[in-house]
Amino acid sequence: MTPLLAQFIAESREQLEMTSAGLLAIESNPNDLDKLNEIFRAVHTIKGSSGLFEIRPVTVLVHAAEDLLDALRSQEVEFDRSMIDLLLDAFDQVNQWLEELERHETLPEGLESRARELGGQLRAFLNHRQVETVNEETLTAPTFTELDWLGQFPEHERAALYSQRVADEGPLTVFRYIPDAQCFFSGEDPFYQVRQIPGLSLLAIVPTEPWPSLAEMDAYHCILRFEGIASAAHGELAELFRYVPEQTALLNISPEALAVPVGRPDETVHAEFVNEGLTLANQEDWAGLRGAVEGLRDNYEPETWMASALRWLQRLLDSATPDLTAVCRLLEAMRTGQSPDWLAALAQPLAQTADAAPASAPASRALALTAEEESAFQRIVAEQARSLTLPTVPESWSGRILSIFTCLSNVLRYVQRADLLEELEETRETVLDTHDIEPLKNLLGHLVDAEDAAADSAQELSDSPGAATEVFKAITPTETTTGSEKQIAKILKIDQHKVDRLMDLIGELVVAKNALPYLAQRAEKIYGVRDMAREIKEQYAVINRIAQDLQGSIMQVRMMPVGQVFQRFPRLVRDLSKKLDKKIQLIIKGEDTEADKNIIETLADPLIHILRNSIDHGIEPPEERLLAGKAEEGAIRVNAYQDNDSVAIEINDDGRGVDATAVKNKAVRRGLLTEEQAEAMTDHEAVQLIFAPGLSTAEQVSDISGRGVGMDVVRNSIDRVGGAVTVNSRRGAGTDIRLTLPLSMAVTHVMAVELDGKLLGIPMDLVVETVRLPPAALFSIKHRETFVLRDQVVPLARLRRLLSMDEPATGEAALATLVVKVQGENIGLVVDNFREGMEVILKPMEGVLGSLRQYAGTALLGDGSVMLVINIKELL
Amino acid sequence: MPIEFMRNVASLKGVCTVEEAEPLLEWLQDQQRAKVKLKECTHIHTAVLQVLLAAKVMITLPPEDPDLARWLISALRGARTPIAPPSSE
Repeated sequence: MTPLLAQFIAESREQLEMTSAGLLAIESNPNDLDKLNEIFRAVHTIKGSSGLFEIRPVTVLVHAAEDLLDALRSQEVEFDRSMIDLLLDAFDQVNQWLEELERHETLPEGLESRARELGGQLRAFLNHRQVETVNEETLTAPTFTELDWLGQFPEHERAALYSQRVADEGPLTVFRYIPDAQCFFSGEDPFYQVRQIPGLSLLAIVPTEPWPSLAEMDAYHCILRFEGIASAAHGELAELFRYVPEQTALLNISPEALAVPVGRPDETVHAEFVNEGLTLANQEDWAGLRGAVEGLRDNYEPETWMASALRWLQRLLDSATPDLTAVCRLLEAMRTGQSPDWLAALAQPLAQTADAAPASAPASRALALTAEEESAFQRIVAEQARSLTLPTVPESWSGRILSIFTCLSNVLRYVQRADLLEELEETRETVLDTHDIEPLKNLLGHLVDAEDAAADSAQELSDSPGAATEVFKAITPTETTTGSEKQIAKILKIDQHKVDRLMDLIGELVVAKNALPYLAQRAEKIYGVRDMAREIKEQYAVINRIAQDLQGSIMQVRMMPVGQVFQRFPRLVRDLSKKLDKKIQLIIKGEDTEADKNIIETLADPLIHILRNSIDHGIEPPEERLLAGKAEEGAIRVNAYQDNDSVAIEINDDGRGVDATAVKNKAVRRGLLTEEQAEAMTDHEAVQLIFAPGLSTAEQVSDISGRGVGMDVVRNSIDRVGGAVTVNSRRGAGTDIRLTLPLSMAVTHVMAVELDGKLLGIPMDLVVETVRLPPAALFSIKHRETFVLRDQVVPLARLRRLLSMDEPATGEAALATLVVKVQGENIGLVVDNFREGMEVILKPMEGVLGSLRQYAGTALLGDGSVMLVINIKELL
Repeated sequence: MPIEFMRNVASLKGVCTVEEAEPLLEWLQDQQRAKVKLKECTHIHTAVLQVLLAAKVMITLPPEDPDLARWLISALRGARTPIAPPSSE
């Protein structure tokens, strides 16, 4: 499998899990918009990534779900509980497909119809909305409210196009194409599409929103807009964009519309010329008008707006039969200094916008840009003034002043105010010499006032749209960079095998480390170098400390919150209670409690078993509950917390409890107990029998639980990781089940004991204390040896006897006795001698030895020998 | 791989597909003065184009494809800043 696909599957699973949890939350609180957004994003991510693979069914289905969620999010459709069911079904289906994908790397054929079917059901909720959507899309579809934007193309290029079109009388069509932001996911390439435009003459590619900083940019979110002019008929372009009509605007224009004057605005009044021109035009005295234009043209700098307008007028007049209306429009435009309203002149069916056009777009391109730049200029100056007022430490004062001056000089250089630059330089010297910021404040105030002046000297505007914002960004880069640094996630996703390998290596390191004390002993005893032995021990202490830290850190890596397992519960409870017509409330506490990943994983199935039992057998149907005087709604509480070196999980329900008599009867029927035994048994003991294999008290086997393979499996899997499970039933009031699990299985503390010259390990958590008993302290009760420890009778067992070894007579020597706690009871265990407690990496018995239940496993000791660790529970 | 990343120059060749956008963006995010060479490029996907525009990247060699060169250069000209970066004192 490619790493990409593996990652997709893993991530999508995570997202789906979150989604299911989120949907349940929404079900109980449909107004939780945050949750809804969260789900939407998760689903959106899956859809987006699924597009990378050949898994059409997933994409189709998730897309439908996404649409529904989006509609819910924007409150376009009413929330409906059946939606949740359907969405859950859909995500279950996706999950199933992901499993399929994981096994075979591809999806079988023919799933798409299933996807479409489910998707169709989801979309059914949207049906009435779709009508609205269409309307909406026509509303948001690009339209032209003015044609001033044509001014962004260099004048000479437009002029060339104009003369060409006037000469051959070919069609001209302006277009604007705003692709859907998500279009990349559906395999579209708008730029390619645009390049296919027949007779593409001018093209601008501009962002629909300000450019995001690179760090924040989403490469797959299209924010481009394409606009330009094609020397082709409207129909040809419409044909090309036939799949995206709602994203395009097309308009046939006459060549005159290209006459959008651009340049620096001019304060001079041209009313006289305009009036004269209009008169000449109305008399169709083209030669006279041409002459007047010729005469006026040299009065203006070539880059001014007026000069540009005059050049265009000249071009219009160069035609053999100049268009009177076009000429008049351009002349009128000169009166106001605004672009002629060519759109109105075109009088297309779109004309409704024509009335609005002059009002909505009064400023010419050049003016608008200037305004933009002005505002950037103002913002920069204001920012400098603000930073001047911020408190500062004396050491950084001059640095700040210098940076303000650098910034200002750059700005002024950009707006070409050389005069102010000199003033700035002088002020800088003064401020730095006198440490008085007053002159600088004055200068800043002066700059704010001088906005008109600054605007006037801004040049080459038409060539630099977006330049203003750029200036701003370039001068204050610190804000954006620090912002993006914070966003870098500090989370690594690592294959578990790598961590396990690390864990194994550390285990070996611990064993190797443990060899040092033996080495020190040898150095002292065999070679007689005491100093050397001491040094080795010192080194050992250092290595020991590092190894322990290392172990601790790697354990932390493997720690996971138990909440991971709990996530599935709400769904389980919801589905089962619906199926069984019971009302159940699930209360989860302590999801943050952490434990080793392997432990958490072993927990999942047993916990689900227990929960199922509680729902199926524990909680009564509502009627029965009401009869028993309980609340109609049953409650199941799951509580996790850390208890010393272990994690405890308690599952309580307030159902009917376990029927001890029924358990006894069943146990007798199954031959697990004799009648006498059953008689003598307390209810509490009887309830523990539910963990015995092959026992289920449910009256009928349901598909949820009751096949009698439940609780013994639970106990086995908990035992396997060294945990314990206890049950406590309150007749008619509920059942409490408590699981305790070690935090980690990696390192086991054992107490070493000596037996026949060999070392044996006993799990430290079972050891209560060590005592040395004189043989006189022993006495027998019914053939069993016992002793009294602090007024308590404790049974005694001899490890040698348990392991069928010879028992040499010990005479009057005290017996080394280990008091251990097994199944809640203290037992004395006689061994040959006590040795030290140690940390070992316990390896379970494997292969042929695997059936030796008497041993929990083996551990490698520092001197290279193997120690057997006893499983006392099995031995007794 | 139609994009070859060198120290601070990325060379785009042939048809650059949508898949190249992400690696290109990531590369550009780490570059102070990135340049791109487009000489042998015949088409770039919109997503890649968008990344180039957003980064206001410098083109060392324009595409040989006259069509692409024309639209690309004018688009980049629009996106590029006309002023020199602020000098440090």
